Amino acid sequence: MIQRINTDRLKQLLKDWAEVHDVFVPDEQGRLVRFEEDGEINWNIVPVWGGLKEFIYPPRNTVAGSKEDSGKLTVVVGARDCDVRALVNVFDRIMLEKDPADTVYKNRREKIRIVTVDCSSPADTCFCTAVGGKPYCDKGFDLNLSFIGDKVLIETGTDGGQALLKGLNSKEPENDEIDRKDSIRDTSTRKVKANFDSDYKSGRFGDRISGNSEEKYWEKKSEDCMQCGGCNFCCPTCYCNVLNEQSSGREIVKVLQWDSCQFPGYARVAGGANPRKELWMRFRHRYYCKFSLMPGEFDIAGCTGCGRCIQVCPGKIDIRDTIKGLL
Amino acid sequence: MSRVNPYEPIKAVIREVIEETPTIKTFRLELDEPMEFATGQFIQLTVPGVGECPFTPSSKPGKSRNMDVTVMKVGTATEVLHRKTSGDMLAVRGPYGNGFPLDFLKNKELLIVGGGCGMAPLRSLLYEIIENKQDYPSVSFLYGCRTPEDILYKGSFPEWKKEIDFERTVDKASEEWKESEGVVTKLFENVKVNLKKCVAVIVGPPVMMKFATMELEKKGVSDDRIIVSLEKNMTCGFGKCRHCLCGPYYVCKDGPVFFYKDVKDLPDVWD
Repeated sequence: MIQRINTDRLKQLLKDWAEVHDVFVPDEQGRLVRFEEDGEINWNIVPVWGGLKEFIYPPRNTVAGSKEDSGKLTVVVGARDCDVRALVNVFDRIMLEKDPADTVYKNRREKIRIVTVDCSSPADTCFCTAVGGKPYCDKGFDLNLSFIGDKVLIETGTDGGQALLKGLNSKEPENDEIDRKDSIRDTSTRKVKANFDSDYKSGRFGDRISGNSEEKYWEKKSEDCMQCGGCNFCCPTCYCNVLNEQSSGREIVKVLQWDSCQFPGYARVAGGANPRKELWMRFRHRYYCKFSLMPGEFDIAGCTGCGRCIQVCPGKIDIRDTIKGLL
Repeated sequence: MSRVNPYEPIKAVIREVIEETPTIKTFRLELDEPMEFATGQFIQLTVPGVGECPFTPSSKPGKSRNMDVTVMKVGTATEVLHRKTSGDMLAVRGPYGNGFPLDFLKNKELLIVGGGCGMAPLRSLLYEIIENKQDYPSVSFLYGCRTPEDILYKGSFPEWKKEIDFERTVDKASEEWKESEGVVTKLFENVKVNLKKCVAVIVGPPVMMKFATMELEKKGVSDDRIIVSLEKNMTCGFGKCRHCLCGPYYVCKDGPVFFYKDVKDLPDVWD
């Protein structure tokens, strides 16, 4: 179902939600921050930091031992298709469907409501269309917002989303408003396509990425990598974690913490063996994981084309260039 | 998986610590609840407040509250573990992984090759074999270590020797050492099982497994009759952290026991 309200009414809706739920919205810099009545919200910018992943799979997450739980719902407003595709196709499948289910993830997942927003002004770094995505969401959301001028079209995706709209006085959108929504989506799609008009599935990419081949290529490409792990941490599909042992006394406490395959010690064992000793091997492994392993496991690439890794990389490494060089 | 939350371990108390070698100890644990494991599967052992490490229990497989874990001192957590004594608390998650393919091994001639601390998982396989001797009519066991001092389970050797063909060798012999000297692959020369037919199970340090597999292939043991147990960084134990990925395999779930033919061409198999 699609309903129409104006943007002032949306603000009121957020206020209403914030009274009972934890509500997060994109700020001026595109970070998802706690909603405040007088805070600025930027609906256009694609969130770089504080993406949807952090709310369901926090950087540090107590998975055994005492946990605090407010019992409240978390409503994340401003997630994009690139976030949701990763959540539904990668996270939900690895954490919930593959045995054993991660019960902590499951609890958190049940308490989150995802309100997506159409991308009306994609960044120059966006390339979702090259990896099977779109600059708007058509599944996996609880509610989706399409901004057209001072109006907002709200599409309901789930019962949980419907419940958030209880008592909302809204109108049905006019046909021309639906047309405008579609036209904005088309324009965005064209813009994203122009950012990277290739398909990683074409050519020899998959073959060239596996094995120990193309050493020279990977050495060259990884020259500017500082091994900071930023690309992993902002990536909506990366879920590698390390389990930290933090027990004290007789209580067993385990904290799951994000990890990065770019760190030298990532795959090292206590005895000293390390399957990926050299930087270029770790650098290549990230691509191998995303474009060869993950498509086999999840039926989608481990890249949703969000472009965040391009934006955060201090070495200015562009994942699109690395892919292009092997097509 | 006995627990709903897969990260929640079962508490365990150390009942006995056996000093096997200067750097290896066996911890005899009593778990708060019984755990059932198959030989070759591994567990994650919590050293409270310090870390968690994967080990293959060295005790008899099956369901029990008692479990032996043989540990070499190699890193931070094992260093602290080696200082633990009887009565100290640890915790155990698991078991994880596939274990040895017993149905495949049954009624075949078996060549089992162990190196150093690789004897730990093989002891649990030995218990299985000796207890079900009718299923394993012909077994040759070769065990290699650096020096006589480094040999595990020294006291059990005479007993095992009575049950199966069991040869030991050390890289560097002492004056008292009466058995073979040299690397374990040297023992392949006079092995009693038929190399054209037998199934080989190899567990040991990567470098030993690399040369043992190469040597066995040369001697006519085909790669679909060689079984290895891989060691990778296994953090979660159940395919959710991606640390142990080796080629397309999760070593923790698809392994740690593999047919050599499936892993021999992976670039990082022995690293």
